[in-house]
Amino acid sequence: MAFRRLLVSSTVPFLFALGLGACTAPDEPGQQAADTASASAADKLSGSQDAANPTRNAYFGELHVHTRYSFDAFAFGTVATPDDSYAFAKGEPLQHPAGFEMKLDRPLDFQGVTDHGMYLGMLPAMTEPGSPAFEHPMAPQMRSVETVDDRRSMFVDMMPYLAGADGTRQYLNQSVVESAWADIVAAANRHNDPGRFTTFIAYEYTSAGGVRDNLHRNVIFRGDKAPLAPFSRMDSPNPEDLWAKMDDWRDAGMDSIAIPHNSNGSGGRMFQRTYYEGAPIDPAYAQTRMRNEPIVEVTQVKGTSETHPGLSPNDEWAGFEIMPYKIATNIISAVEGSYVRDAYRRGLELAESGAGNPYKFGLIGASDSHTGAGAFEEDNYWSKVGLLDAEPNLRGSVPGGGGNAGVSVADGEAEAPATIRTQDGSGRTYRDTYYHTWGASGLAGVWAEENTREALFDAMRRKETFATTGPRIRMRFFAGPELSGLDMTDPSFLSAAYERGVPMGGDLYGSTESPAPTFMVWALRDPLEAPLQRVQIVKGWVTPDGTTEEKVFDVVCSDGLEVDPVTRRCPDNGAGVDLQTCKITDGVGADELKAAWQDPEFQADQSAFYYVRVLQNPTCRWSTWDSIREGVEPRYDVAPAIQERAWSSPIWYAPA
Amino acid sequence: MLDRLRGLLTDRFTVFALVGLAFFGIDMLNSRQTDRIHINQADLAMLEGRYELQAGRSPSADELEALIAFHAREEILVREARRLGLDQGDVILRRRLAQKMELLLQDGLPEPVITDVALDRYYEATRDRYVRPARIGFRHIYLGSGDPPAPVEVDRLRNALRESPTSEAWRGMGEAFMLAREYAPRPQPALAELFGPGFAAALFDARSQSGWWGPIQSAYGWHLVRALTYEPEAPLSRAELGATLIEDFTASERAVAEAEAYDRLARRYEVTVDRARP
Repeated sequence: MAFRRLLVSSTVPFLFALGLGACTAPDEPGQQAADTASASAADKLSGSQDAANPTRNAYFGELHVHTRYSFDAFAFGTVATPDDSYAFAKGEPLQHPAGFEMKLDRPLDFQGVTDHGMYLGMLPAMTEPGSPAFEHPMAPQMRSVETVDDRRSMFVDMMPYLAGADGTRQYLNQSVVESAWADIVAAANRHNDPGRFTTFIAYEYTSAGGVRDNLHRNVIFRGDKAPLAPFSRMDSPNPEDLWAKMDDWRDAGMDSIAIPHNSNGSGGRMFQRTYYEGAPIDPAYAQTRMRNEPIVEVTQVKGTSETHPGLSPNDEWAGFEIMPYKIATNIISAVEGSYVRDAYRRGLELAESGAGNPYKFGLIGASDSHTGAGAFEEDNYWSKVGLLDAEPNLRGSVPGGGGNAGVSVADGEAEAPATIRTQDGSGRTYRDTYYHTWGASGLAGVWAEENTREALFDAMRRKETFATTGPRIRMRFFAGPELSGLDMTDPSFLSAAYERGVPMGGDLYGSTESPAPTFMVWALRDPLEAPLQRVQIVKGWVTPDGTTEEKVFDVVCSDGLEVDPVTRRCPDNGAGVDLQTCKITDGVGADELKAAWQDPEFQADQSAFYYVRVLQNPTCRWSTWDSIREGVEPRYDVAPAIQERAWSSPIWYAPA
Repeated sequence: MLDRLRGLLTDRFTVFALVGLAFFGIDMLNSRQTDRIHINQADLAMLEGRYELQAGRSPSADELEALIAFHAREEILVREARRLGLDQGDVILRRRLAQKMELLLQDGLPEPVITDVALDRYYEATRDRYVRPARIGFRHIYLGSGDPPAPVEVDRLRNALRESPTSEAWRGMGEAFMLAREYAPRPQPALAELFGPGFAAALFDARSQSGWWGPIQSAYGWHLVRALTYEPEAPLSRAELGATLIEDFTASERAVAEAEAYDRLARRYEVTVDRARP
């Protein structure tokens, strides 16, 4: 412990000396440690412990955040440790690599630090004399990075090593990986505070298929024990091998789930109809996948993967925070097989054809920040790749000179930095990065009896989860034929709904005598954010010919407005946002929306899924906040305002 | 890469190189006598050890010869570079040396001695850092959103509550609420996050009010509330701090020792700055 601390604290001034901490005032390291420790103690003792709630509480957390142990985060200038990241999640400030302070507007209830399993801890070790990684062929380059372009090059030049290209494998020091992992595990266990703040031992399995088709997932452990080292893409790039390993771990008493993310950048491979090697999916695949991957991260900084206008042309809200590229490239990603609504439909089709449903997953959101600190608020946004996108002009929200600060890789080759792009006839020029397609998102919402590892993990396994784009919108969703007539205002409503129906993530099975199910939706605004505009139910179903359809139903509107029975839409509630000040329209929107709903097109013999989408009144996008602060017009080719939202895990209906 | 090379070719470097080449030429003319590079047992062990760390096995005989040749080549280049003064003004080299020295300083520091007396002294000196904020624990009955509830309805509820102050009947009153009806003690900011700032402030302002009162408005609507416990801001005792105090004390002692070690070095130097600009 003392040795570890010494290593960490002695590395920090070295990095500052190397220019990694440009613009930062390096605190005396010992003092920094003392402050963090006392703050977390005060936090711990000012917390509270509620009695377990049988009708469950909504807990908000982060299950995707990187620290210095991730190869890319370190190359991007991040020196934050897992300890720093947990302190940040509890509400403490953390210094961004560019020197400013990052702080949440309120603490989170839980977090799992998820550093990249491959090359875990290797890059910081390259700067530590005495570490075997100090002799790595890339170490001299790591120790001499100075500029944003150097960092970009470091990231790109690491690629062959991460892919385990011929002649590179011997340079990975397993002892370094294991030592970093031990530190991550210890930090998670140290910060776990049942009833107040929950942590998870976790890491990211960072694999790809085809041409940089993103297959990344985060592995989250249930307990306080973990294997000696993560199973990474260095072990196998095939996620099916990860699941086999997770099955082994489970047999050895170490339960875990894997949470796929950035399906939007998967080129259609995240939710494909075949095994990794190409054989058609069968029930064995479906079972294995669902046992190991009950939930998916639908929204994060690098875009939202609910659906795409090309897949859902009749959904007016489909074009939300679309990030069209494969990850860390500027190659356009195929949309089919890359978005969760499409996956739900494919799942129904596969099940209908007898192959089982491998895509019956619930939803969460997360940030994927690489600074140790998630940026969830539009007006308090630092994007995610450290020094590479630390400034508005670097992330393309305001005009700025210079070359491409983004990471552009195609077919493993670094592309020449693209020059500046000019477009809207105004003469303004922006850096040609893809960071302007990123967003201040998202959070995981989990319905659990109490804030403990066991309760939260079990809720994720049963998919009683929801995703938000940052605001703490809370939502309930129940369904069942027995719910009809239940009074949603009665104080005993929740216990009755649990007793007589299934919550989000659950299954409904039809029977010949049971009536059509009733759906009950209930959404509560974030008390510190904009009010709610409407609640929708998204339905997908199998048609008699084995294909699927989808439809979006508005089910309850704000301001006493009624859903139009023909268009299935709420009338406009008149909510808007002033793009000069970001002030939102006063006096419109709802604090709470609830409704009982029956599917007017319900067919007892059609398999279907139903999930809820809650929309807030419009607010400024982060890029507009950036431009207002710099006193310039918002960029012409990004949405100036967005409707923050939340999605429930679906409820699936299957005929008898 | 080319950019970086170009960056290195500063004027100063060019000057150095030219001067160096001149020296080199003179050396050649003087047919400089041969330098000796002796690779001893310790050097060999170091080369083998380094190789083993990377490859996970000992080098073969051929590989060892290659390592020796590489080491000799590096040594020759280093000596020639020194001869040309290239080690002067090299930023990376400078930082490496500073880093090595820093590690050496830290390694030499004694582990802090933890005694009750020392912990007491530290606690007394820093106790303003260890404060638990005021907290309120409460129950509430949700009366729905929109317009304030009718006074008649509120009176009816309060009468019912007065009649059965200890029973659990309150749980069945009012409207369904999505979150919990009873909250363990929380500081005001935590309540503001849950119910909105106005609600949290109202609850703290009326902390001494007994029984059920209200309605007060939250971000969601109207509530009757009843404070269960109020705990004023209080210093945290040593017992409550537990291991945290020891961790903080140790970190602080270490930081002081590091600063003192540096100061002892720094005292041997006088730093002067010529701030005049031409």
